Order: sequence, then structure tokens, then C-alpha cells
Amino acid sequence: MGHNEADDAPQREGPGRLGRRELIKGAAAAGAAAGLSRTGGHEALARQDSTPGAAPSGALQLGGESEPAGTWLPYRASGGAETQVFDLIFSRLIRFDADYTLIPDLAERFEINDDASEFTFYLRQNVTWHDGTPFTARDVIFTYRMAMQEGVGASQYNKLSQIQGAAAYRAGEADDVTGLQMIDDYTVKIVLERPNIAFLVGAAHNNSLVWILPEHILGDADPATLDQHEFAQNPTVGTGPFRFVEYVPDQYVKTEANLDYFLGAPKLAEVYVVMAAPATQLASLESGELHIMQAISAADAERLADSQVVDIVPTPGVGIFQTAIMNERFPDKRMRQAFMYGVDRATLMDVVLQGQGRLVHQSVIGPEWANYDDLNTYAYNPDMARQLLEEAGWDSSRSIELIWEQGFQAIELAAPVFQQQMSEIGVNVTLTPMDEAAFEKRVIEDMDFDLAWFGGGAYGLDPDVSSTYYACANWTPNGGNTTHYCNEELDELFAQGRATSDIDERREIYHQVAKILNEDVPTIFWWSENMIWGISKQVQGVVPGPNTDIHWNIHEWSLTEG
Amino acid sequence: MGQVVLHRLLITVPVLIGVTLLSYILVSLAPGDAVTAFIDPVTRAELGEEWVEMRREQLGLNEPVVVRYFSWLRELVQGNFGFSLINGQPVAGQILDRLGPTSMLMGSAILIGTLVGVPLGILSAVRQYSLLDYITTVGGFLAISTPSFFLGLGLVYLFAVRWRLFPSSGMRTLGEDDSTLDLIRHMVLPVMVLAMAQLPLMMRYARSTMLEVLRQDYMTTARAKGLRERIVLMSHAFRNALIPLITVIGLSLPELLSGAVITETIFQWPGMGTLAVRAVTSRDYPVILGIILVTATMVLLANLLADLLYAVADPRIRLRGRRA
Repeated sequence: MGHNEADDAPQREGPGRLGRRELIKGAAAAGAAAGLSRTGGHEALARQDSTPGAAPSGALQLGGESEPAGTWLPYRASGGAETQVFDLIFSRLIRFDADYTLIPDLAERFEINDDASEFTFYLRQNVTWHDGTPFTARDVIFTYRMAMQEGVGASQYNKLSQIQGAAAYRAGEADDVTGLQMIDDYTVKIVLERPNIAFLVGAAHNNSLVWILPEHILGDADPATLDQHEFAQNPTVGTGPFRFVEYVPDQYVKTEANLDYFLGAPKLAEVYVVMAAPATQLASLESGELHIMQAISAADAERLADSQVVDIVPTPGVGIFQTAIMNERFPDKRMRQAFMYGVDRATLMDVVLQGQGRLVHQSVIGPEWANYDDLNTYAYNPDMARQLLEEAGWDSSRSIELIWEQGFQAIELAAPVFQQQMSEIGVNVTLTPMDEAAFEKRVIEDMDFDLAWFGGGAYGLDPDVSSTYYACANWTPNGGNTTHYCNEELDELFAQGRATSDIDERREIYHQVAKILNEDVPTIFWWSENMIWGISKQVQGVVPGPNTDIHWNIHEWSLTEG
Repeated sequence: MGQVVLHRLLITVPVLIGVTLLSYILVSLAPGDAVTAFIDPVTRAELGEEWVEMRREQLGLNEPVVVRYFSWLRELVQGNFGFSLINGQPVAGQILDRLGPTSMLMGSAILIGTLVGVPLGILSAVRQYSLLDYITTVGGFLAISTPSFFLGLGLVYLFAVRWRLFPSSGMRTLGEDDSTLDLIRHMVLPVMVLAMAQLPLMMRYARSTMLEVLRQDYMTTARAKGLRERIVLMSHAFRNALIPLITVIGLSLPELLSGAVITETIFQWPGMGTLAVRAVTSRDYPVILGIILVTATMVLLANLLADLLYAVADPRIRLRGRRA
């Protein structure tokens, strides 16, 4: 297992980058050659000479997604602003770049075994923490173990519980996590309880698995009071391209360039994550104060299309706008299909998104290799809808309630049209917008609703994400399946899809998954909305990716005066 | 006099307890809590109820409302405002940090509103039905009927986006050193919005009370005595018109505080307003209650101050105070 494996990996997409598709394919080839293990590795991206360029300059202002909680430890389910800051000051093992490609971060390469139950990460040896201490495998082991402690209340535990021995360690029955092995100072091996190739996506996707924390600072910290630890207020020791300087509540988080960054010194001297309401951000983007803003609305995007100051950059979204159907109340799939036929989704999407999205007919929507088109597109057909309802014995005196979270603009535009079109096929719908907390309670705690409209999720990152929302075992309140849809055949396919690292096998499996979801309609699938970025023309080098991950190459960004 | 103040201060205590009890109940009745407010429904479903329960347990949210209220009150009496559920920081410190920026805005707005509004009001009363009177009347109604969020966004569009004269938000220019000039530049737009609510109010009240006073017999007497018009207006008319104005200034404090919530949010001003909005959206009970308590105290004190100022402006009230 040396550097020569990198030579076996074929079809690089670009210098130092490897498409996930190729990566896993390449892994198969290398695995065949090596006999035992599959290798998904390649040369480090970072072997650039540290030719000192110009000194870092310029202060970049990034629009913050939300006001952060103010404790800077990546163990909480937290708002977007934290994620942005963590991306600046910490690093992960691996991560996505702009085209869903897994690129090395702290791990310069990794190997996956045949059935995707063992992952070996080979770490970079040239990384130091911001205080000069060398980064090693001990930090990785520490970070994952800490997240497994009950007292920490880590939101990642659900994902980490897949690791062998995690439950026993959490319960205090074991001093060690058997599946978390430090092979040497720069090699970490993770063994899962059950095979799951999607673990890799978990390790790369933000908010899922943790950014790596410094063991030499937090090693002695008490898990139960971690929030009160000095580091939680002042996380000045990371491995990321920028160092944490200060957080001024409701104003900004200031970071400054880490000249020793392992991928090369950043070109920007300072990066601020600026907290402000969306309308305020938009104004300061237009006035040239703010440099990058995410999630611009379709209407504003159109208005700013010819702006002299800002570039509007749409990228494909990974979430799905959907109306969850409580399947227990609509057990006959013909009823659910009728709902899909009965609404003119294409026209509605044009009105609501002004072209900034794509229709979806099931939930396997990415990445590229998993996509499958031979599906029922449920083109608007009220006659078909009426006929299906009749066959299913629909009682036209029945009235059903649609709930959503008040203030969700797209839904507020679409709901009256939905109500109107449903009444045309003989279904009476009442509209109930609700307060956020009340909505969550109805959907997740009480599970008492007919139709619940919402958007989101990270479906586009890996087809296995769909299992979170449609597998029998994940019914609310203990999982993400709000619809209480259950199909054992589908569950079996999900299990198979996780248990192989062979991309062709996976593709076949998820085509079946797509067909089943398309046929069964557990939820009304509407569309996937583009993520629209507003990027100041003064900034160079930004390549926004799917989801909200824009910072993957932030050390290469620069600012021109303007 | 001292007795009056003491008496009024003592009344404040039960009022404050009433305010906290009421707000505690209201806040607890609202659905959702600090655990669920901070995560979106999709993530929450993924995390599972077990995680939510565990966090609730850790934050003590599983205790009954009454128990939580009294333990909060007990701490409060000892001077402890509690700790934020979201970031674990002391509430008192967070509020103290915000008092400065908010007072800056409100102080400037009250100052401008009074110093510009009152003279304008007096002028338009003295010259009733003049062109100036019509302009200030129409302008005043326009300003007072424009919602502050609209005015705020409008000013941002014109002054920050279109003409780039002033920064659109925040308290300082990032990437530059702090300076007073920079701070003033950042204050201009939010103060303008707040003053726009305050100024016409002062102007209208000044105008109508002045008109009332001007019609009184003692004005005729004063003029008959041969006093110069300026002295008639300033020491006879204006002094008598002061009392209602003091009331208005005193009462405008809560109004300004609520206006500050919107204005601070639009301009991303790190004051009590933004803190309040954030605390409410994240269901951060201790912070919400701390803010309510501080605001209520400020309002009560402002009223007390207004009462005391009556006595300064009108000697008759001072006498009545002694008798009480």
C-alpha cells in the first residue's frame, strides 16, 4: 500500500482530483490488483511547493447563514454559520469539491475493502495545528471518540454508531472503540458494524461527521462540560486555512490567514463571516460591502442578472421540495399517484422558481452516476387522477388538511394553486400554515397530519440518503421517515446498495430504488431548487459546489480592489 | 419628594414580578423549545427523538414550568440572571454588552426628535395655517405612517446601494481600524429611521399643546402687560406646554425600544433588539426573560423620571407630591 497505488487509479478528472465515480471504479481495479483491499487514493493535492507568493491581502466578507450559537465545537446540530466558520478554521478527513468529487483534506488518500465495511485513512504528514503542534492520527481518534461520549450530546453520534464497538464505549462497557484503530501515527482504520459505503459521504459531507479537533488542547476536557471549555469560546487552534480571531455576536466572526496551511498559504489576509438578515445581506452585496451570499431568491437573482457588481451563480440543489403524505392515511398508492397526476408541477415550478430548479419524480437525484431517467414523469393529467381516485374508492366528501411552516415563501405561492387543482380532481384540501415549532410537533412528535409540505435534505449527495427518509426502520419519531411509508423490497435494496463499493453494482441497485419510489409515491415529489449564489465581481477563484459547500478551495481565493 | 420616589420604586417590585410571571407563562406556552428551535425538521428527524430528549434533560427543560419559574426567580433575587440555553453564556453580560449600542441609537433618536421636533412644532403652532405648518403637518403624517422596516430598506437602497454614501449595516467597517467617524457613518441610517418615528410625534404634540396654551386668557394678559412676543412664547406658553411633552418623551421609550427591534435587525446593529429577536427565534428563555425584565425596568424608570420632571416644570405638582 504505497504511493504506487495512486498510479493505478485511472481517469483523473483534473490535476489532483478524482471523480467519485472514477474513484470507486479505480478502487475496484486497484483492489483486484492488490487482492485484498480496495484503494481509493491518490497523490496529495497539496504537494505544491511553498513558493512564497505575494503576502496575503484583502478582507473578504462572507454572508453568514444564520446567527451562530456562540460555542465553537462541531459536535452540535448547528446552524449554517457554524459550518462556515468550521470550514475556515478546521479540516476534515476528506471532503467534496465543486462537482461532488471526494478530494483529500487531512487524509491524503484512503482505502475501502470489498464490502465497504472497513475504511483506512492515510493522513498527511505535513500538517501542523495553528499553535505549531504536529497533527497526528491521535487527533482523529480523539475527535471521534469524544463524539461518542454520551455527555457531549454530539449530533453526529447517529452516524458514528455504525462504528464497531461505539455503543459499548458509549455505555461505558468498554474503554476502547474496537472499530476505531490507530495503525500508526498517520494511519487510521475505521471498521463498521455493517457495510455502508455511504459512510464515506458521511465523512465528507459537512454537518455529518466532525471536523478534527486538537487532542493536545481538549484531551483532558470533561465531556459533560465541553461547552464551557475555554476552547469552545475561543477555538484558536485548528488546522484550516484561517485562524479564529474573534466572534462579535450579531456582527461577525473574524479569521486571519494561516500562513502554514497544508495546501499553501491563503491569498486573503482576513475572512469575515458576517451575520445579517437576508434582506440586509442582499443590500450590502449590492452596495459592494459583502462579497458572497448564498440562497438568493429566484426573483432577486433575475433582478441582479445584469448587475455590474455581482455575479449570479446557480448550482444544482441537493434537497427536494416535497409534500409528505401520511401513508397510513392514504394506504392505496393509486391515491398518492393521483395527487402527482392531479397537479401541474411543471407550470407551478416556472412560476415559483422562474426556471431555477428541476422537476423530480422520485428521490434518487444524484450524484450523476446514480441518475436514472426511465421513469413515470407524472405529466399533468387530471383525467388520469380522477380515474385513479375512483379506482381507489376515494370518498369525495373527505376533506384533507395541508400543513406547512408559515413564511416558507415557495409553499405560500404554491399552496393555493395546489388546493385549486386538487379540488378539480375531487379532493378537498384545507390550508393550515403553522408556526415552526407547532409544525414540527405535528409532523415529528404527534405524527398527526394528512399532507405536510417542506423542503430540504441532502438527497443529491448519495442515493443512500433516500433510505433516511423512506426506509421502514426510520419512521418518525425515531428516524427521518415522516411519511410512514414502508416497502420491504426497497429496504432490501438499500441494504444491498450500502454493502458494496462497486459503482456498477450500486448503479443497478439504485435504478431499482428509483423505480420503486417513482411507482409508490410515498410523498408528492415536486422539484429540486437551485442554490443561487451571489458573488462579488471583486472575488476571484470561487467555484461553488452542490449543497452549500463553497469553501473547499478558499485558500486560493483572492480579492481585487474595486 | 424622596418619599414619593421611594413609594414609586416600591410599587415597581410587584409590577416587575407580575411582568416576569406573565412572560414566563407566555414563553412556556409557546410550542417548541431551545432544543428543537435550533435544528431544522429534516435534521431533527434524522437525529431522532432520543437525542432531543437527552438535550432536554441536559438543559433542564423537562422540569415543570412552575418549578423552573421559581428556581429562576430565586437566582434572580441573588442577582443571577441565569445562563443562555444556546451558548451557556451569562445573560446579564450579554444584555450589558447590548445596552451600549442600543442606547447610542435611542439616545441619538430622542435627542434629534426633541431638538428638531419641538421647535418645528412650536413654529407651526405660532404660524398656524402657514405654508410651514402645512408642510410639517403633511410631512409628519407621512413619516409617522411609514413602517420602519419600509423606511429602513428604502434608506438602505438609496443611501447605501444607489449612492453608496453610508454603509448598509453593522457597526464598523470590517478590515479597517475602529474610528469614531466610521461609527458615526454606520449610525446615520438607523438613527434616521428611529428619529423619523420620534420627530413627528414630538412635533405634533408640541404643536397641539402650544395651540391650546396660546388660546388661554393668561396669554392675552401677558401680552396686555406689554411683554415682548418672544418672552410671552418662551416663558409663558412653552413652559405650560412642557408637561404633555415630558409625558410623550417618557412614553416614547417603550415605542423606541420596540422600533429598535426592527431597526436593529435591518441594520444588523448589535443591540438589545437583535438579541431579543435571536433569543425568541431560538426559544432561549433565560435571555428572553432577562430582556423583558431589563426593558420593563427601563420603562418604569422612564415613567418615574417623567413624573419627577413634571414637578420641575410645574411647581403645583411638586406641592401635591409633598402631601402624598
